[in-house]
Amino acid sequence: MTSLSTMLRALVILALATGLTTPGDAAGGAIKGTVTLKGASPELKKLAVTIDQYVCGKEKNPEDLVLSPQGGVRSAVVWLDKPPAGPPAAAPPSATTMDQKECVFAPRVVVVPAGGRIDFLNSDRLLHNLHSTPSANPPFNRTQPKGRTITITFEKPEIIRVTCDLHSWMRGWVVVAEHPYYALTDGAGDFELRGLPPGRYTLKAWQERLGTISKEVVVGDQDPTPVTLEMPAR
Amino acid sequence: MALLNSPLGAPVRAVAKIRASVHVKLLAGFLLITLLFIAMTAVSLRTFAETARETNLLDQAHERVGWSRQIEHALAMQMHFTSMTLLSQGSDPVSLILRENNRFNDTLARLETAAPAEERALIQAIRGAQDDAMATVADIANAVRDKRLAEAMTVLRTRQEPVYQKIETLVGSLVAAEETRMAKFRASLAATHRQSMRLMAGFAVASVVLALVGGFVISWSFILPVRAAHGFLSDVAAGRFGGTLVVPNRDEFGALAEHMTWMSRELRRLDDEQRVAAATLRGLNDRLALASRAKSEFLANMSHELRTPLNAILGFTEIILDELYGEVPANLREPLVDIQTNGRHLLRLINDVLDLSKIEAGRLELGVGEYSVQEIVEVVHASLRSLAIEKGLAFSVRVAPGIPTAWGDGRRLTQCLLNLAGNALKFTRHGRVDIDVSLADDWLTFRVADTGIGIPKDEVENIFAEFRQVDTTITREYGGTGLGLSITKRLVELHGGRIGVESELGRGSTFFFTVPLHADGGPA
Repeated sequence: MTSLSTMLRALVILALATGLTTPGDAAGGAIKGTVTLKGASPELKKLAVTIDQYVCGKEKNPEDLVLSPQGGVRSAVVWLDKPPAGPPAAAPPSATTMDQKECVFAPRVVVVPAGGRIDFLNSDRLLHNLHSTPSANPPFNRTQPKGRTITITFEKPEIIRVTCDLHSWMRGWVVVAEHPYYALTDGAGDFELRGLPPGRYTLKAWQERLGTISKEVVVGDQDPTPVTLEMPAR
Repeated sequence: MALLNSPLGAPVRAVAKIRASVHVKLLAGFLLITLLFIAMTAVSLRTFAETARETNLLDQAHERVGWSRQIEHALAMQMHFTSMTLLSQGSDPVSLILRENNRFNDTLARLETAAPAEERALIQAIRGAQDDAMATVADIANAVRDKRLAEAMTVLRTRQEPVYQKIETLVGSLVAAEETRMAKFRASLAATHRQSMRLMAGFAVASVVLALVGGFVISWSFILPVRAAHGFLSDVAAGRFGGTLVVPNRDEFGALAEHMTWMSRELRRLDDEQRVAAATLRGLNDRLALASRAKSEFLANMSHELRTPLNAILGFTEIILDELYGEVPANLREPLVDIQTNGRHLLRLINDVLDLSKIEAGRLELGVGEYSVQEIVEVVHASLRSLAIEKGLAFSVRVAPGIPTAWGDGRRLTQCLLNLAGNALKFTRHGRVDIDVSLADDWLTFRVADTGIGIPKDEVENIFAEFRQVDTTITREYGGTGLGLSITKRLVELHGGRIGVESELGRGSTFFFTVPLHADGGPA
């Protein structure tokens, strides 16, 4: 894998150097950063499972704040407060899935652009009940046996909490983004925003436990601009 | 011994014949019973474990039946809540339906984990039906939420009710299967109980029988040889030697019996030897007695024959000294007196020998009659007074007053006292000789006390034997035959009395003899 990624990187550099770049990449600014926790990590307790242990297990790891060993925050959503003018360089996929597996939403946080669609799945051999009462989008309350897909389209930008009526510990988040300039941090807390014209931006980050912060970033037209978003513990 | 003929005789003999020590036999007996108890404990524990296992299985089956009932209940509740939902036309009880459905799943999962292999297929069938049921429940719930009640009703009728009936049937089969299993377990448990009761009873009876028989056989295998030995020893004690003690034992008792047999034979041998020796001795003794009697008779005859010429010598000597044959020249008188003195001495010796011979030959008889003690004492005093005066010794006699006339051989008793008093005077150089007679309990005691040379302690016992004087030098100095004391002793004994002496060397002696006031007389 390492040799493969090294080769790919060499190929990109070669392409840049020879000017063989696609037109969309002409506005080649980018932000490459990490979301970290500032301050001591709060104590996280395991969640006791009281029913349906034969599928769900005896307890669940708390996933409302997952940190890498270096303090990177996982599943934080980063976006530009105001998108650059003009059409976006690349449209993100407008549909994604959120599974329910061993009584946990997986992934816990999904992001779709406004008008995007989410396929909710159930891999557990029992009934789940998707329930959400968003403010901008219509509410939904759906019983779901195993193997049945429930598809919901989200029109309005919003951060929506999804729960299961039958399993109180289950939490999922659907972030409906206003524009395509967003990213979701990976396990190390890293993210990347591409196709940005050089300029000055306000970068925003949200995490279910830590709330929302913002930071000013100046993006050049060459190398990706490094940025670290520190979210204070609360 | 009747025991040995009973059926238990064989095992008793068998145990006796075992070539092992008593210790080992007893230990083996106890070990056998202990092993039985250990076996009983092991069997009991195994039975308890088996019972516990079966009880556990029964409990599990019971629990599964309970779960099956819960499943049925959850199913009924789902139907109930579904009806309520449709009746109220509201979505509030929907969560209750869902909860009951998930409870159904949970209980089914437990049942599946706990169920025996043969029920897995049934449970899988229930699970398959439940998958269908879940889909219909979801459809009904969503339809109700969307206010599509007619559709919900249709789903209920066409899909949910059949699938629920199917589940009910399947769960019913499951319950029936479990109840069959429970019945089987109960029967098995009861059988185990009965079997364990029988085993316990069997062990109890076996222990008692084994303990009784073992104790009986082992103890009798020890008692029998002891009894045999007892009888055998009684024979030995009664002098019946040389028997053989036969016991079946090959243990310590067997060894003991062999030793006792050997002992008895050895006693027999010694007894035989002793009998032979005794017979030999008896023969010798008879011959000795014969010889002694012959000697005594010879001496008696001899003495008698000797006295006749001696009397003639003494008689003629006396006639010569009486000068019946004329005047005796002065130079011959002294040798003639010597002849007379020595002749008399010789006559006395011969008389003594004659007396002793008569006594030993059993030919001396007492001439019993009345006699006076006072008279005897006076005769002795008169006979010896001159000798006492000659030696310058004080010589006194004392007779206790009030002694009646006695019965016995007065002449011989006079001889006895004369002997003792004569001896006393003979062996006393200075001082005195006293005669004393007393009466106590119809027994007369004659005492002669002197202040003479005395007798050493080791000689006192021999003093009354024939031809005995303390020292051969004494014979030379004092003369005498050494027969006097011996004759005195025999005479006293002929009277039924006894003689004794108390003496201290150099200080004097007291000789005494006792005779009954009325002696029977006659040869003893």
